[in-house]
Amino acid sequence: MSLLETRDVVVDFPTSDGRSIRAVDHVSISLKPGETLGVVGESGCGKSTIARAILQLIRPTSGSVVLNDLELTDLKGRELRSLRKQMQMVFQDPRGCLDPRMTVGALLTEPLRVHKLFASGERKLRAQEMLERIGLDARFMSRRPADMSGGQQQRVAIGRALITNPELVICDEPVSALDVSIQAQVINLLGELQRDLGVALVFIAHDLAVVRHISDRVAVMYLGRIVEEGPTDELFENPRHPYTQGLIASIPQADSDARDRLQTAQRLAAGDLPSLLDPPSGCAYRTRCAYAQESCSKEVPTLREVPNAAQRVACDRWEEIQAGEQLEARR
Amino acid sequence: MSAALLEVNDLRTEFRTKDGVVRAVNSISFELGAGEALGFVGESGSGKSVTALSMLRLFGPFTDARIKGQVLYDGRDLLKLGGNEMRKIRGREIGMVFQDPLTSLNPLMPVGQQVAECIRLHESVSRDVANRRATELFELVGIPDPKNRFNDLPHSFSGGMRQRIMIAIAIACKPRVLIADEPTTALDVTVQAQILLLLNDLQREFGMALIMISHDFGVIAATCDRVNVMYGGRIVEHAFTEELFRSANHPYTEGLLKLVPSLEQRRGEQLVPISGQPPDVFEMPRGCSFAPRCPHVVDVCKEKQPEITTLGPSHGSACWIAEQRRLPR
Amino acid sequence: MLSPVVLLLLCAVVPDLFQLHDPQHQNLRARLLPPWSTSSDGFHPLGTDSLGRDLYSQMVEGTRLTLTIAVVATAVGGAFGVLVGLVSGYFGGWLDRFLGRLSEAQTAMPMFLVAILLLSLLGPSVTILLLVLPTLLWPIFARVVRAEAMRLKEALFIEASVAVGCSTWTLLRTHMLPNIAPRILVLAVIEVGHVMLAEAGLSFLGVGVQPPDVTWGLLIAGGRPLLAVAWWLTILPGVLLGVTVLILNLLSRQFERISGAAG
Repeated sequence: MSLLETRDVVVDFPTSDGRSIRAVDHVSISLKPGETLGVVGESGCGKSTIARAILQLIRPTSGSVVLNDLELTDLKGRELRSLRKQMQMVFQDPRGCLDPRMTVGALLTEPLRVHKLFASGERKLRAQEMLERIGLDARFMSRRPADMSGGQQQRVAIGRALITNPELVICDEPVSALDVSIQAQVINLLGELQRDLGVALVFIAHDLAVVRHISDRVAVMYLGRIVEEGPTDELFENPRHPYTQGLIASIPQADSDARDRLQTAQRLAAGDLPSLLDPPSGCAYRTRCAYAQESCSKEVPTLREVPNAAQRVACDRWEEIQAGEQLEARR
Repeated sequence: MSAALLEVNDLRTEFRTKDGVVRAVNSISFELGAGEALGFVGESGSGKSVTALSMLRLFGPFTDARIKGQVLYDGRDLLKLGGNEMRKIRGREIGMVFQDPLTSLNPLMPVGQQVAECIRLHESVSRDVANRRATELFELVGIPDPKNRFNDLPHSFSGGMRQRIMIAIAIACKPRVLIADEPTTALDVTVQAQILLLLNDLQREFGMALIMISHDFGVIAATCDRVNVMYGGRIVEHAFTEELFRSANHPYTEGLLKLVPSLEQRRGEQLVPISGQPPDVFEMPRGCSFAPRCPHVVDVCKEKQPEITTLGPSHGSACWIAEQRRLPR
Repeated sequence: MLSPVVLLLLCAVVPDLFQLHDPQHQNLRARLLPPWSTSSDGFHPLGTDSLGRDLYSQMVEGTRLTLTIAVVATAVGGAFGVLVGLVSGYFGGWLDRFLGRLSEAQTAMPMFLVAILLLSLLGPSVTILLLVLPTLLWPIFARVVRAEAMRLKEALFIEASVAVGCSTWTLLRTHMLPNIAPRILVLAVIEVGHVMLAEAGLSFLGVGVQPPDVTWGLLIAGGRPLLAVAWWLTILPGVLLGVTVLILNLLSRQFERISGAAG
């Protein structure tokens, strides 16, 4: 029973000279209640766009987004607004997403006011409860965002997103703008709150290690498409798509193999990301792929199931490649 | 080890702002040998970027910065040089690569010219020779089709390519030291890998020393022989890279290493955060700057600033209980 | 900077406290006395007019109407301009273009002349004045607010508020407006000064306030024919007007600094 299901969502943006950019290209994902889906990818992969498309902050050009059996793309105005108490978002920029003129108390109670939840007196109580839950002292109630650090601001943003007890929260790079030592605090908080409230998370990040830490399943996006998707540990231990492999190898780790891994990364993910204005035909990854062949430029590979695993890969040749690599390794 | 190429002694940098005095760098001392790669790791506010800018005296006319101490390059104190002499050092002896290639490149000047300009500033060569060398540099740093892209403007390049251009400018005159300040932070991770490898290759090829500044331990691990860990304007630990990862001593280093989620870590394991906030730059604590957040703090930590305890060849930790922490646990 | 304004406000609210004489009291034996004179009625710090009325007390009397007209006209014109600007800036599209044309069309007209025309045709009175003056200043409010609204609507916290579920109306009211308010206040303070000058001009030309009402502009007008013999009748109210506008300008800058630092 899925909480959220998107089917073939496409988001096109018109450019100033009449052309258009396909930011999201037939993306289908599903999410069970209480589950965490990590979405990773680099610039231009469409992860932020799909986040907004799910919440209807940007309207998909085509495709369907179903939350609890309700088709979101059909909803407008009051109906859509009313549904927002079930689906919330945490943004990347903690300072920018909070109204600088409102106090923390007002920011926390606003979602309750907007959706007319609880009586006025009880709203304040809920806000105080949430303040404690997000690990902030009671005196923060009357503070304004400008007087708080990035980590504190993000906690408020998280509190705001969770105060209506939504079933789905989409986090768009929630810790990228924070210092490393604060990131851990916020990630732990998210994990805790998720467990306590049973909310489903879509966690978007470019930092693979963070995503691995918090997700049940991971989807890897490249140039608007999902190229691989599966349970977290499976995906990281046995990545099948060359891009996923390259991505994992590119993450510099604080260990002694660091330089060697980078060499591998360079081989698997050579060159630059193509421009969205002029994407490669067929498989979008072929311009950087170490295994690309003629056939890769002909058709767009579809996400296919991997036998005996809950994984899906969008590469027509992955079995071939894997067999080839194993042969190489044995030599 | 041969005489150090770069020797910094007791470097202190203060900014006078309308809200008070900020001691961004509070007594830093370190050495850099020829061809060596030294990393500076720390979070924002640790003073790592300011250290680099102080060494090259790159603060603009509107910043009231007071730099004290000694920065000995090849025996000469850079802080005592006059304007003209300093300009001969910048770009020629010591090159620098900045974080954001978009704002560091002149948006209106063709990229080839920007490299050629650097060459002609320091060497008296003709325009043609400079242009030719610029094209060669483009090839060296991996810019495809260098001849035809010579006259293109920065905005027509991707972030990774722009960073390569910046690197080309920085190494154009074959400096003996290259300072890279968060050179890959603004780049995608697969592009980052390429740039880091490029820096490594160039370092080997030209025998350059490298100072790599980053908040990312992984970046340091991939590029540096030795590391300085900075916190609150001071070096709290320094060691060979491998040794640091194996046996970090300072509680901050240890905390930092523990909370970076590693790819090996399976999901569900809790990250161990460092409690509290980075120090307020206007009001540094009296004793050890990390004391308010340290899980092992003792009384002396709050009173006096710790000096560096030597733990081994090239491994030092600025912690009052460094010795005790060294014992097998 | 605030204290002179407070003083003026007090003059407007309780003129009796500050007046030395009844401003309407005539004393034909004390006509056209220069400043710092004494008459049978007492001391006249700023002199008397052609009917022997104390200039200083008249100026105090005039404060009330001058300020009232200026503030009310600014409030009315400002409110309309803010509404237009907010709607234009936030919604854009054809609405913005239409309202923009409207504002441009009006700015293209020599509004002051139009005002004179209207007041001459409809008969000068305080009421008509209060209807005509706002038309002079709504475009500038609209322009400023529109620019701010366009900037703010791209702000992340606006998107975040939509994500929370705010309706457009709530968004405009509780998020956009409070963030634009400082700019509006800064502008309003300056515009009060401008309206004062406009009213003075209109009254000077005879199509503004009519006696027995008193405003500074009217005082200036009244003294003009006697400029050669009794300079103080025109100059002193003129100085008061000028200084007040200057103070309002400086006050508005102070607000700008304060709100800039906070916002």
